[in-house]
Amino acid sequence: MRDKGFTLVELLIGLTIFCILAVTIFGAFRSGILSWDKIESRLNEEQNMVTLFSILEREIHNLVEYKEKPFFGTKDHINFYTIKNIEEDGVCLNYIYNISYSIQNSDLIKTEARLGNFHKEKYMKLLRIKQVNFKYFSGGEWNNEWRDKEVLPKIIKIEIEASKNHYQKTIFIPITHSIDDYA
Amino acid sequence: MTMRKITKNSGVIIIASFWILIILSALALSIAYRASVGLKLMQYYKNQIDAGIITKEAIRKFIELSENGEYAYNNPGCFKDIEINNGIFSIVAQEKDEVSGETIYGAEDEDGRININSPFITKEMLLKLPHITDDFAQDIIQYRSELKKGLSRIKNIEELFLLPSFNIQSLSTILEFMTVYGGGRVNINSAKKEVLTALGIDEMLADAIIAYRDNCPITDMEEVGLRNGKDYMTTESKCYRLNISVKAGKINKKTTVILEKGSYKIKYWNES
Repeated sequence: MRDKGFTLVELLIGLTIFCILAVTIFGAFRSGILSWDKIESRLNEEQNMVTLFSILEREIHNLVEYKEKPFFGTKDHINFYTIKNIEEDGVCLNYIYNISYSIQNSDLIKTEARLGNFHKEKYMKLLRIKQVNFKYFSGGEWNNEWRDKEVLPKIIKIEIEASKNHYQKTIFIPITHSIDDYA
Repeated sequence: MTMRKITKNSGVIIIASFWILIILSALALSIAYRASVGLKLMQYYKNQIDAGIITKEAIRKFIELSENGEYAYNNPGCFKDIEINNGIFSIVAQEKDEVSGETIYGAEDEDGRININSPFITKEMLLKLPHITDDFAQDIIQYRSELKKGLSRIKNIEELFLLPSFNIQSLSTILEFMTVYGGGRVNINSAKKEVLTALGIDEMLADAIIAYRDNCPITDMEEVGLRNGKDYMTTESKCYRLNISVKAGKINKKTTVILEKGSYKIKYWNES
């Protein structure tokens, strides 16, 4: 069989088919990678949020009244005392902590200070968020603020909107020893 | 070489498809790995939520059983390894009993401890407890009286750890013998020997009381020859302490709850 090569028309048809295929495959890959990235970042955000909520939940469950100012809360700031069990140098001890969450330049900030002889302070940037909204249930109604009151709220509602993806999450955390009849 | 020649070589197609297969399965594996990590994390959070629910169920179950007249203090049949909502809970009063060395399942009586908020508890009484230094007892009494001026009281036992003279040696004594909850008077039906002697009862009588109450609960203090001390001793209990340990999947969660008798109001909650 003699080697004849390609004609111009054949070459053009070949190139066109190749281009169409390349563009389709590239587009498919691109959208695949984009959605992969999106899901990844959303999952990350979800996991950050779940971790944050599980820590917050424990802190609010273990909340205690300490001296005169036990609990202070506004729309985007919350400050309370809680007990944490921490093991240091082989001794496991319950420490009283003063914990506050607030917003600064769309970062959720947590500060925690251990009281007394073992004083220790920590300042943490947790995550970037669009907005946070705390609400406090008194038993009859939801309040946007909780200050200068002698009793603790019964339930705290927290709404957080992440800065990316418009991802929103709401959680209700009861303060266990402030709820009257458990049975 | 022309296209035809290449495709005519035997095995080219099969090798190409093998390559494609390998690349695709690598892709599939990486996706599966990513998904399994996510699944494991979700399983962890699910177990954690389950553990919280089981803890609350355990309290409900405890209330229900004690309302129905079940013995609350040493009752392994009711409080040991109870299965509930795909998890297990037990309520442990004491890991190791001093006499038998066995674990006691059930509630602990909060009124078996000395309530340091009670004005009848003096420095001398605290000093009779093991490992309490003179400075520390003094600090406790002073702290209490300072709070009392502001019509307040010690609300958490953890506040004692903040006193300047606190040292680690007295930690177990505080955790075992002292409380800030309950009715304020020590229940001689459940108080340990150290507590009874700290209240001014001599050792012989303390041993006799413990032997007596093992047979039948004391209903009147005069039964065991105690005429004085009704201000700080009683034969009734007002609070339960529940040490609930829950197992849900791989999660072990321990929660200590202090529950008021009758009203079943939660006075204290601490979860790990």
